[in-house]
Amino acid sequence: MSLASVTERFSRCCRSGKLDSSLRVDQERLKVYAELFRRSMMAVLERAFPLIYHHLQTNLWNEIVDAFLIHEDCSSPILWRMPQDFVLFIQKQRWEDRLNIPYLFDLAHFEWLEIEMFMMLDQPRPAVQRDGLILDGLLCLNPESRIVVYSYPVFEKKPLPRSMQKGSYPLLVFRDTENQGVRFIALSLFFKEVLEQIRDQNMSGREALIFTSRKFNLEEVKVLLAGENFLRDLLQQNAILGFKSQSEQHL
Amino acid sequence: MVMHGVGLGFRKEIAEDILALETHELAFLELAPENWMRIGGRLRKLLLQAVEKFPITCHGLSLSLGSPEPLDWGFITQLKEFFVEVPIQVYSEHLSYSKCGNAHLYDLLPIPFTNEAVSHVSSRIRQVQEFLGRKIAIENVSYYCSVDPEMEEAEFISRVIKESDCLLLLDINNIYVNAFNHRYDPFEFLKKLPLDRVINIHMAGHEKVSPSLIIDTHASAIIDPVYELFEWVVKHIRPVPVLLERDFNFGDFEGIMKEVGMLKKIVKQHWVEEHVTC
Repeated sequence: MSLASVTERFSRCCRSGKLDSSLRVDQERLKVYAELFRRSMMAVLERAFPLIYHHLQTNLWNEIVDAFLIHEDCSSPILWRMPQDFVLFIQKQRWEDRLNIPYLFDLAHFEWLEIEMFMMLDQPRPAVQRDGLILDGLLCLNPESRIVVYSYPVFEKKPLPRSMQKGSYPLLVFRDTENQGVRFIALSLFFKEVLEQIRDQNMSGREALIFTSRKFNLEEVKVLLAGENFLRDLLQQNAILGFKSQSEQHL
Repeated sequence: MVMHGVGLGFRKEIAEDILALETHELAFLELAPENWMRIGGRLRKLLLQAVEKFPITCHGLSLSLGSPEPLDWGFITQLKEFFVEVPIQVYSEHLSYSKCGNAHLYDLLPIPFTNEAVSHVSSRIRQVQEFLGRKIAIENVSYYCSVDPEMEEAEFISRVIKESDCLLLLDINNIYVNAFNHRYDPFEFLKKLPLDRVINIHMAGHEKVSPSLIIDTHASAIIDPVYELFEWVVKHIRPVPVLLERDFNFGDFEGIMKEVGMLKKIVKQHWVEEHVTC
């Protein structure tokens, strides 16, 4: 049997847990490899997805993981990236429908996002000033941040409720500049839009709040007051790094 | 560059304990590049502190020398970039495969001891060495079964080293584990290896899970018979870096450092201890 054939059959046994008598090998010891492989992958996935692991009945968790090991080709040579393939597998194979857990993909994505943000490459940090006019200065959002919108509020309550209302649930995720931990702030759709305007359109807080209030048909005065508090809070939590310097304002 | 002495695996679970040590307490740190390359944040900060404080060796996990598919040049390019960023003394890999059918298994699967495998693996090692511009070391792995072998393990390792002109990372715990699991004399096995090609040594603990099977876990303390094999090796080769590998059960860091101390004691008895010189 060729090297390619042996390695292919051997690895297939590890992934499926099914022995292969065509391989001239001690079958009991082949089983050892299959068990070690399954155990180590299970351990990585349990650590990466503690919410799903604790939320699902053991048999359902095992069913998904076993299907993943057999059917999904893990694409990255980097082990910590492997859970991303698990998330894509849940999405591709529509496990939320198969298990009737509509929020399963969102939950998996949310758990992966924490890993990805924790590990992500350091982003260039623009020069900022911590002091400035919160509504009129140009605010610099933490470059190590992301705004995502989930269909279910998978990040809201622990333990996770068994049923959740479908909707739009924006979330700001960022890496803390002080301790490099990953932090999450639930957003309203309104403030999600405001942050995107500040980040993408280079608007001041006031401009973004007024622009968005018109879009949402809200009263400007109330919005400015609430918006000021919201932006101050983000500044305090390092989700906003500070105020762009003169040179950064023109970029 | 000459480096020897006793080092420890740099794992995130014990990174802060390691960084709190005095530089003379460890001769070097070894890390898996896959765990530390192309990352940022807290772990990156720890890595930079480690690089600042200790010499570094790298022990890879995903090169997959025995895979049937082509080498992953994208990954190897990233490795090369990492080695520029983090100057390393030695880059080693496992004489095994961890990828098949374009799927990573993140495990060390046994390459069949065949003539075809000798040629295939040697060619791949040569390609990697040429691309990286440095010799790599291959580690004798623990294996629980051999698949349709055409030769013994020692011959397989020796021929791969000869045909690829690479170096040997001698894992002494793996020799003990294999000798137990496949019922041979580890000292006789050692005598068949090209010991003049040893560039570094790994020491670790294992777990006996049944009367006839030991699993190479790196999760417990080194046992006396493995120390005996180590001492035999130390008596028979020139000084090289010695690594304590611990990948699980990090609770007792003092205990881990006691093992480092034990290895230092043996090394000191037989080799003239020198500090790292560049």
